[in-house]
Amino acid sequence: MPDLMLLFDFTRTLLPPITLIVFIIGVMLRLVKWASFGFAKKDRPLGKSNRLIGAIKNWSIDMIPPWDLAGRVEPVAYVTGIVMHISCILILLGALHAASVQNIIGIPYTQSRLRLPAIPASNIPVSIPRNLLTYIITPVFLSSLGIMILRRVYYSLRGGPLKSLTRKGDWVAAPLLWSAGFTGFLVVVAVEPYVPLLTLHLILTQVFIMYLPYSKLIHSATVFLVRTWFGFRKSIYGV
Amino acid sequence: MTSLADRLFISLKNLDGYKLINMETCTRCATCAHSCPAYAVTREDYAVPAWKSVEFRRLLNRQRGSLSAVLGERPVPREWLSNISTKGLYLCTLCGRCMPGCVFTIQNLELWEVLRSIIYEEGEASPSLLEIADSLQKKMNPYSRDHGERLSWVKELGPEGVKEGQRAKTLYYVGCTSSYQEKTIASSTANILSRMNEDWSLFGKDEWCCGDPNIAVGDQEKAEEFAKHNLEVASSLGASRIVTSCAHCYRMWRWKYPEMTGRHGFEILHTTEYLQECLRSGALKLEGKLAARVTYHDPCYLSRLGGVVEEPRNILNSASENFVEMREGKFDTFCCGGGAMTETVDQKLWTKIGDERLRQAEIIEADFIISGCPFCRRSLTQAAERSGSKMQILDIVELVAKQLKD
Repeated sequence: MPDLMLLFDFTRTLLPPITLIVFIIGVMLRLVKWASFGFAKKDRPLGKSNRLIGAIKNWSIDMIPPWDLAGRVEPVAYVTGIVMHISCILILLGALHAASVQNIIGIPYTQSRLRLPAIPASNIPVSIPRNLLTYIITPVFLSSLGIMILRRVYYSLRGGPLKSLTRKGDWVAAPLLWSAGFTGFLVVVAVEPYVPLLTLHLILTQVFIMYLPYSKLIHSATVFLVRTWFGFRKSIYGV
Repeated sequence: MTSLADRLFISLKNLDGYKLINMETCTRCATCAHSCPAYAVTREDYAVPAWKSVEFRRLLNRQRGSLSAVLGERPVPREWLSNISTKGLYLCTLCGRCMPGCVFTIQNLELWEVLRSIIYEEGEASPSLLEIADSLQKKMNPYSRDHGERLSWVKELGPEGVKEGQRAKTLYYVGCTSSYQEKTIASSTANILSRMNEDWSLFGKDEWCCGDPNIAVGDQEKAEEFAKHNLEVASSLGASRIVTSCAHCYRMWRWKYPEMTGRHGFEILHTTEYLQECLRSGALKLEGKLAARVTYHDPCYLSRLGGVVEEPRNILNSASENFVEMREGKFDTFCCGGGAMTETVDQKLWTKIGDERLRQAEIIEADFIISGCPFCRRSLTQAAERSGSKMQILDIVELVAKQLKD
């Protein structure tokens, strides 16, 4: 038990700065790589409509899957993808996660506007019903991410495009996120043994954060650029 | 284990930070597979757009991984290039449908153009594309036809009021496919321009390919050279606007030339835009309306990659009584198979995609498929001939030219 407590303390004291350093190095390597290819301004032709409107459109009504394209073929993949991402964001904005960030970057959580429910033991103010996050959003997140993982497993065994696309990293990123989410859920619903589960959750979460900039999970940041750029492109064409 | 001699440093000069971020956003979810016409008809795993992205990233990460600034670049095995070239790179018509079909809207088309340029520069391009490159180099067209034959349609079809290479306000850029293969499109456009009393001329013998096939080949420099040449000719003829009846030429002139050579001052119109302008001004009057069931096939390079979607519909609503929409139209249009010189590069793919598009028109029981691109006209006409379909395939200028009021 003392060893476990030592490990638990490690995940809350020494591991966070290590996580942060590994994460920052990963982000820097990505940025340097992108910058090394240059961002020369192209002499774009005069567009047919406003670029800002194009970007807003691509982030709103054009987010609805085009039915004639993939929406018709794989609605489950589309729906689970969207649901998983939204629920994931809500969970990450939860009080305890925000408080963890506070521990690392030093911003007092109690002054934050991101206050959302957390674990029962938390004394952090609650701004939306805790049960909603715990018993609805988290299971929805775990199920939708689970379906995405199973889809890859199924097609990898059965054959098809996903099989030829799957790389080792795909067996790390999503399962890692799911495991972190699942252990977090167990901690929140107070499943025993509490401390080992929380320790495992903290380790998995921080490994996930460290892994993020080195993997395909980088899309969590780049998607904001990519969707905006395509919105610009469509506004140039006026479509 | 590949020997040192079988490894090489690829040229990444056409890749920039924007494209790289697009490429690295791909999560290999395979959603793009279901929007890809090539995958739809072949069910070939290598046709999936993300497969090219994955392979491209593999090349890049080998040569220029995250630590290359410290450790130096590493050469890539040549077999990786030939693998891309022989498997999936050319199972693609460059229709760009994978972009709206991607959950992140990754701009894949630009990546495929860069990947094609790498493969071409390292001598791994498909032999048929190398023949096209040779023809473009020597004859300024992708069809290995003599440059002198470029204007043969004028003699053969005798359109009204044609001027060649003379100073005029409007220049008609015919393009290679209408000049050598779908000649009635060129002739109909010429007739319409003359009947509209337009001050117009052809580029004449100085018209070179627009450069679109060069991009399909992977020869970006040649495409730029052709762009510069065509722009110089247009300037020397004192034109202020260019009309073209080809969707690929339109995209080059309107959207790619400014990116390649800087903004130019020409107004670029596709024939559908020109016809709508004439209809609105009252200069174009049509005799009667076609009673048959008419549908419109949006050329990829005109709608999704060109931005011309409503104009042809407005014209068809004026020219026909019974206009019906096909499924998978407008911005999400299904390809005809004709892009990226697929007819020459992969005949099987070309016919399968053309057949599928024809089938979609048969579902809505259309009598006519109208399009706005000679590649589409050719692909769909051939598909109709193969299947023995009675459906008629026309370009929009052919339909309008037939209905011109005296």
